[in-house]
Amino acid sequence: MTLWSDLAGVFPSLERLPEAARPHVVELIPSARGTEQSLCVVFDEGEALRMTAPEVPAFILSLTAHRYAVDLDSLGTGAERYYVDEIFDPEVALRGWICAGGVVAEEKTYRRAGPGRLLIDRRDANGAWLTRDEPECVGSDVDWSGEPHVLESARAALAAGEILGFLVLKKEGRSQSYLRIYGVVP
Amino acid sequence: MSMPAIGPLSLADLRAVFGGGPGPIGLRDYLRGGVLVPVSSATSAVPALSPVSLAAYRGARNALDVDYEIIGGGGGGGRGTVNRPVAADRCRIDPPFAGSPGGASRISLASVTLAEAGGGLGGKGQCEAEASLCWAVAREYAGCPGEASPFGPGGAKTPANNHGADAPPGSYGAGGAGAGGDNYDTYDEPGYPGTGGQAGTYVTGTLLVDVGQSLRLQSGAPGVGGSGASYVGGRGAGGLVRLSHASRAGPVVHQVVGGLGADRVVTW
Repeated sequence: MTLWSDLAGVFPSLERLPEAARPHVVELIPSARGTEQSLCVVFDEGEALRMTAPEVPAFILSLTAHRYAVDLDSLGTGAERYYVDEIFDPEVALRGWICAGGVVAEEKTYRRAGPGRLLIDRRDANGAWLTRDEPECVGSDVDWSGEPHVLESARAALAAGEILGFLVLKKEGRSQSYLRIYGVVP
Repeated sequence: MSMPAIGPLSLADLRAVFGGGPGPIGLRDYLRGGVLVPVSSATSAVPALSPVSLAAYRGARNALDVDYEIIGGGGGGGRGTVNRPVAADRCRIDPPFAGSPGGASRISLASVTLAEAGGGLGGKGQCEAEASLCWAVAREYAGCPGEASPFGPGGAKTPANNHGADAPPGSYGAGGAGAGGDNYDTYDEPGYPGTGGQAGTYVTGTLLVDVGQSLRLQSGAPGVGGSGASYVGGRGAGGLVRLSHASRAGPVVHQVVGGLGADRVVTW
């Protein structure tokens, strides 16, 4: 529980997670976008996502996937971020949506581009391209641009066998980094 | 063709069974290990030196002891994925998930099969549960090696994110390796690797083959790897049929190996 309580200290939104959804958390992904930080939680079922984010569009919950995720700190902002892993198309790792009150405003596709690298395509609600081939790649610990304590907590959790591992990812050419902590036991 | 087991025997019977020129013949022309009478289990009662009587040839047969070894083709390795498969698609043993089995190898006389060895089963497709048994470290997501045969190793253990290694061609009958899976990467969950193909069945023995008889040798084709996903399983090695006989002039060996031209007729 050390990691959980450490992250809750940085991301109070984690404490607001419904009790029934907690056993379904399999990953935690702190994000740092410029000076803003947020926390994405990844569930192993859609129902936990629905409990956490009741406004999630129904079509997202109907997708067959292993993991359903939401950025907790985006809830109620009018730009809620949802993610579902793609398990049928080997070219795609992940799909994401930015929604306003349950209505899709933007869709993102995370395409595999070789080991440790993704290319992200973004479209608006009408299917028009916003950006294409935006690179995101696995980096090293020094690429984490968020609160240093968060990375230290992940290291400690790994050493204690509390998690399976973590990866730092970063957007190329932008000040955005992500700390994917997987194999979490809440 | 055999000498009569009952009733009278004659030099004409000897000529009919073992051959001989058109001129006069005698028993000394039909000593065991000579030009006309081979050394085999079918002529064990015939002396190699004079004196010899016609009674020694009763039931003798002009046939050779031919040793054989056969192995079926090796199975192909199972396929690997970059995505974690849904539960129903894990550890599949059917195509295109699994490797195909190797073909059978056989020796036949006309339409009668004298000896046969089955091909190895293909490896399972996208099967973390079994592939993990060959990992050196946790979450390695490597594809497992193919089963070795008496002729050599199977396809080598295959790292994650790679197609399964083929069995070396000289490792007749060995299995191909399972394809690698995919370990944690970017936001990916691990993909599941395949297991290795099994080796073909290995059979040895001895056949009593009449001189002049034609045997058909067929060696099993190699199994191919499971496919249709990101990583294809390794190919098994073809089977082998090898016949050997110790003649007066030295060893005689005939063999066919799996793959192209794997079908051959040999006359003794």
